[in-house]
Amino acid sequence: MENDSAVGRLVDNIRKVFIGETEVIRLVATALLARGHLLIEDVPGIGKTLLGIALARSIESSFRRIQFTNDLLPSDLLGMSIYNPRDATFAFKPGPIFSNVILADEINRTTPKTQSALLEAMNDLQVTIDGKSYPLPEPFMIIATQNPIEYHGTFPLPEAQLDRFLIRLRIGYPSPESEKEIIRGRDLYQQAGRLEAVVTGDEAVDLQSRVDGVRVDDALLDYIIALAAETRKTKGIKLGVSPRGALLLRRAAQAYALTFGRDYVIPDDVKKVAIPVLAHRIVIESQAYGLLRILESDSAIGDILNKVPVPL
Amino acid sequence: MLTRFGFRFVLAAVLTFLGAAASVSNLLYLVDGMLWAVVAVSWVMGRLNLRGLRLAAACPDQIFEDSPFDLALTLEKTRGRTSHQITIAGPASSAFVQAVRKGAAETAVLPCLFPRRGRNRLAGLRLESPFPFGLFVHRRRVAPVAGLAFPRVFEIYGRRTSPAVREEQVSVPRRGVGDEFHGLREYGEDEDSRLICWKLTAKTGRPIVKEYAQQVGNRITITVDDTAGPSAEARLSEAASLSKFFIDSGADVRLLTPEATVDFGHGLLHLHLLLTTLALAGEGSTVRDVDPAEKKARLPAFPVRKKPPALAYATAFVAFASLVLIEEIDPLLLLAFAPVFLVGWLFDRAGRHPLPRLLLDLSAVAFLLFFFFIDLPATGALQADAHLVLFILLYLLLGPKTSRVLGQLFVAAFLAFSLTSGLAVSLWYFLFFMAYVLTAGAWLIRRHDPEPAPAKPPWRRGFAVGGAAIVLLSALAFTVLPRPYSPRMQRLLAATGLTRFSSSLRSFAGLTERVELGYLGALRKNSARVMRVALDGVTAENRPAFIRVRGTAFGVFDGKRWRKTRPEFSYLSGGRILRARHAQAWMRRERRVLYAPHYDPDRPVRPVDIVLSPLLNTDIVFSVGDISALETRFAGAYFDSTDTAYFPSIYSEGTRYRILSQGEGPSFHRSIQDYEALLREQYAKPPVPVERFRQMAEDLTRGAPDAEGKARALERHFQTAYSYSLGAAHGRQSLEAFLFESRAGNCEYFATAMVLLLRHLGIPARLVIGFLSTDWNAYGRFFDVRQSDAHAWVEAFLPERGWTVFDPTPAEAGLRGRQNVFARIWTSARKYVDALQYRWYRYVVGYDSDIQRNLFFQLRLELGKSFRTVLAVLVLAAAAALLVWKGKLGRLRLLRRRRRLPSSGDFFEAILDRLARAGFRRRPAETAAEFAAALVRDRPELKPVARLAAYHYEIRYAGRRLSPDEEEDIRVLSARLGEGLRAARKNPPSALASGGQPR
Repeated sequence: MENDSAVGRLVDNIRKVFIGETEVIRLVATALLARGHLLIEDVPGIGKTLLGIALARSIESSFRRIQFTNDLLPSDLLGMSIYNPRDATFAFKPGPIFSNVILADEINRTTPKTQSALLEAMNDLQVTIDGKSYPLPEPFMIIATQNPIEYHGTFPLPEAQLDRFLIRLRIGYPSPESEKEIIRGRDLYQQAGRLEAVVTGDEAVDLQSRVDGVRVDDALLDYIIALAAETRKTKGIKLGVSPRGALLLRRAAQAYALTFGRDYVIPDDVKKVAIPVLAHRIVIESQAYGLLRILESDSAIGDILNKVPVPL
Repeated sequence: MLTRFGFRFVLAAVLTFLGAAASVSNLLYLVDGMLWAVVAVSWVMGRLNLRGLRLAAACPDQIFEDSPFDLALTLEKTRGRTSHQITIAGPASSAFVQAVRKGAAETAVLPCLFPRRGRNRLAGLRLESPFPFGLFVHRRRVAPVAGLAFPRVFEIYGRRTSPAVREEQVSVPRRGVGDEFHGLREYGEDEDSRLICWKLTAKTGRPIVKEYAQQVGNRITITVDDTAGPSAEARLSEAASLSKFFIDSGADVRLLTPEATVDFGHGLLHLHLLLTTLALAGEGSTVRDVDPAEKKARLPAFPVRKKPPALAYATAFVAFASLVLIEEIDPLLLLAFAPVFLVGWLFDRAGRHPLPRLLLDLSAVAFLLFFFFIDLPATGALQADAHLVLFILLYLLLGPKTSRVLGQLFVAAFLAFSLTSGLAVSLWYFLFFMAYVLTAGAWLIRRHDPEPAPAKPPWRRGFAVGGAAIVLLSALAFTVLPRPYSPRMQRLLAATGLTRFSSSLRSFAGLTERVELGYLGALRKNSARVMRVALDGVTAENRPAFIRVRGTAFGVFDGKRWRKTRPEFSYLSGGRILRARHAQAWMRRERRVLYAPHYDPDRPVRPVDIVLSPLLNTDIVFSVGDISALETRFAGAYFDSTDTAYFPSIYSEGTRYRILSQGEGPSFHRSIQDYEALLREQYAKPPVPVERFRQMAEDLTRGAPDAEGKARALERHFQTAYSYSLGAAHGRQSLEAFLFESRAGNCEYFATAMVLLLRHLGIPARLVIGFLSTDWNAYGRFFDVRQSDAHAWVEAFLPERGWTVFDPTPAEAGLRGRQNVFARIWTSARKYVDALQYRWYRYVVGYDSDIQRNLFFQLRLELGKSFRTVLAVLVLAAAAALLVWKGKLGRLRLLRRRRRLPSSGDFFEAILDRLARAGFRRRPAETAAEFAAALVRDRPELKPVARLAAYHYEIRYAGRRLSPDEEEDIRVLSARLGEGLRAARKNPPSALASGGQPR
């Protein structure tokens, strides 16, 4: 893309197999850099798994894909102690959660018990089994997906739990040109599986540490606060953005700026990440559900973005 | 259908017609024609506006009872020209679309609400538009939109038992994985190794599997027993909320209602099915129309805006300015009034109106008293009405502009313009007419635009077409509108009282074929200006004290009235003798000048310029001194046996002509053959010899040597022994009473008496009517002649001298008292303005080819010496003016600004300013980059903005200082942007993409 920094290489690499909006790839990279997790709420078949695979392969890290079903147990996720009859001891066999990039596919299909096991691990960044704590690796990022149409829907993540995810994303259908390229080309999954790493794990960790150093002007902080205040004032929003949400917006803006190779935040960064970061942190008045509710939440934040004056 | 405003408009058109018919004013007919044309055009354009529109409305998937939702509307224009100002009206709300082009579609959102559960229908959807002028609101029904409203769903936190819900947890004791512990067994082959319970295996030494029951999951049955009773709605709402709650928790839900059964299912689609079923239960399945709101707020005719109403001011100002065309209104008054507009505008801009309401109202009362008791009787209907209109304007302009005030302002402007139309005759009226149609029309359309109104409204073209149609139709209506001249109609119109208007103005048709004694007295009460006379070569030092303007003369007196005579006579024309028919003899035309037969090429001429007031209704050629030659645009002129000159037709518009005079008194007689006979027959004999008169004449002239001496004696006698009086009684007395009893009267009596006495002495004499003016305007160097200067005097024919003027009327004593300082200043100022007006008349209104040729001739004479340099200077001046006009000097401005640019970091604000002035405005919620991207997408010629925005970001948010190269780059980019702006100015941003940004 524009720069040949680590992030630029990363984005370019993913773009080889994920044919669609570059903005999506950039937001994935943002979540990675900001040490946040990603929730993709979208219909099936638009490349969520592909994205996860491509990201993991590009940063030289381990990748696990967990397909959530309704009979998945927490231990399947976290791991368990296994008795070794020879040694007569219990050995901890780590579950698939001990990877750098985890694609938790269709997280809504599993029981709330398993969901909470995952969410707690995301929170604590460690797993405690039988009294012993095992830290999760670094970098650690969960890309969870949900299907809002939910043909076989069971347990959509409750709104209160959604704020564990830094960014909620909708990929959307590709443009006709992109779709043509997708169906014309060879199997992109295989290609993704063969991608070379362009960023080492250390580099990735290093990038993550640089996020806090990205320059944020005071005017932009005021802008973020103004946005949050507006969500609390708007009539159609029952519960507005908390101060934690504002903080996360700032971090996400910094990470987003870093994906361009910039060490300073511009107002457009804040505007670009506002909907992915804030839309799932508010509760709207509407009684709508499903995809319509997601769309209404997004447009509520969108309206606020169009209303609040942005610094020049 | 007609709006309230439209109704009043039609009423105004009818009243204007009556006014036009009553005052016989052609321009009022034109205004009336314009009003009818506006009505017609409004109706036609309004209907066309709604043609070819198609509305598609889409309800969202999920609509809940009594919960507002947005109805997505798409308005498409399939046929015809652009539609403007369309309102899509729903039962309780409306959406506004500014404009829809042909082949395009505009989207809008209509907030709606279904008050009841179940099938609802929005039936009253309509398209309406007041376009163009708000006289009619055309409406079109739109197909109703149907939707389904789910019962109200409220949040359920935590489990809740309810009689409607039956929950079952079914567990089947089968092998599988679940929550419920079922039992232990040995590990079989090919089984999932995850099932092994290691703790127990360790204890027992054999692989043991803990078995869990496979849960089929929660199965919930929701039952609604009664869907029609009084508590049905509450129950249905509860059922809906429970459905959502359980579906969200992942259970399988079944619904049982008296009408329908929905079998077990899970997921959001199933939820949709459940909610739909609940929505259609009971009454919900019958379609019910959504009632329109109780009381729809009626939109005011002139909605109030935050910014001062520019078009309102423009219309009012045009109407006010048109008053200058009325001759009788003092231009100084109008000049003094003009700042009121500015003051009103400033008040509006500031949003404050410091004048207390009480003050304005008190002044209104005071003015009305003044109007009725002082102004109207003193100055006459015309002046008083003008003052009234001006006061109304003042009252409205200085107060806050509420909707009512704006409406009243519209009416006041119309009144002012009607006043002008009724009274003005100048050609310049048509300029004002166009301006008035333009501003008033734009105002009527603009008031229906939303706020903030688009800077360049999309209805410009439609308005231009409509305006042209109006002007054409006005002309047509003007020719077609009936002019009721029959006596019955006139009587009818007289009853309206409007005829007074016309009669009080056009009164100076005074010099008719007959003059009755006492007539002049009435005339003298009017101070309207009749003409201005400029004597060539006369300055303030050598000017005469007064001038005598000769109008017409009369020869036959019957005791009460003077009449003209119409004898046949023959006159000499260059040696040939011509017999004149109808007692007229024509002046001969040679190139631009008309020559009287007695013109002597060897004698010097004294030019006199006469500029006549537009409201004269006569064909007489007024003159000062003898008419030897006449420079005029009329094709000809003739004189009659009384030495009065006439134009071929009555002139009613302002006209000017120049008389070349070669003598003091009239000299046409020199060219008439056998004049002696004419004299004896017409002028030398008294009509009926009266002994008393003859005796008196002889007594008074005893001792006078010759005819002149006798005439002088009589003149002196009257001037000293009699007194002048304008009293009413003295205007109706008989001549005998005047001569022997009262010895007081006005000038006609004096003149008539002297003529009769002279005739009794055998001296030919006649009565002359004209004007005597002493009003010298020093600024314009002319004499002002007013109706009140009307005068009568005597011409007596003396043997050597010919017709000689005698004026027996004594001078009016004490007419002009001493003026104090203020009065003198006021008079001075008025004269100054009068002089300006005179020049306006002479050189602009009366501008004709004569003056033009003169002007150029003189100019060339002056320039002849240094023609070339002057020409060069002119060419350079023209070029400079052209450059300024084209705005090339703007580049110089940018150059200057560039120098103090960008390391200060605010260069981008300056760039934004420039763009804003060109019509490209950044919205407050748009970042610099977004604005630049949108701009470049729309206008590729403005490409440098993107790079400039990037530089701005680096300075502002990265805190970087630019290198000199980068600063130079910014300068280059700014220059290129300037060029791009100039290119962009050729096609300005369309207002459909509000403010220049495509959405």
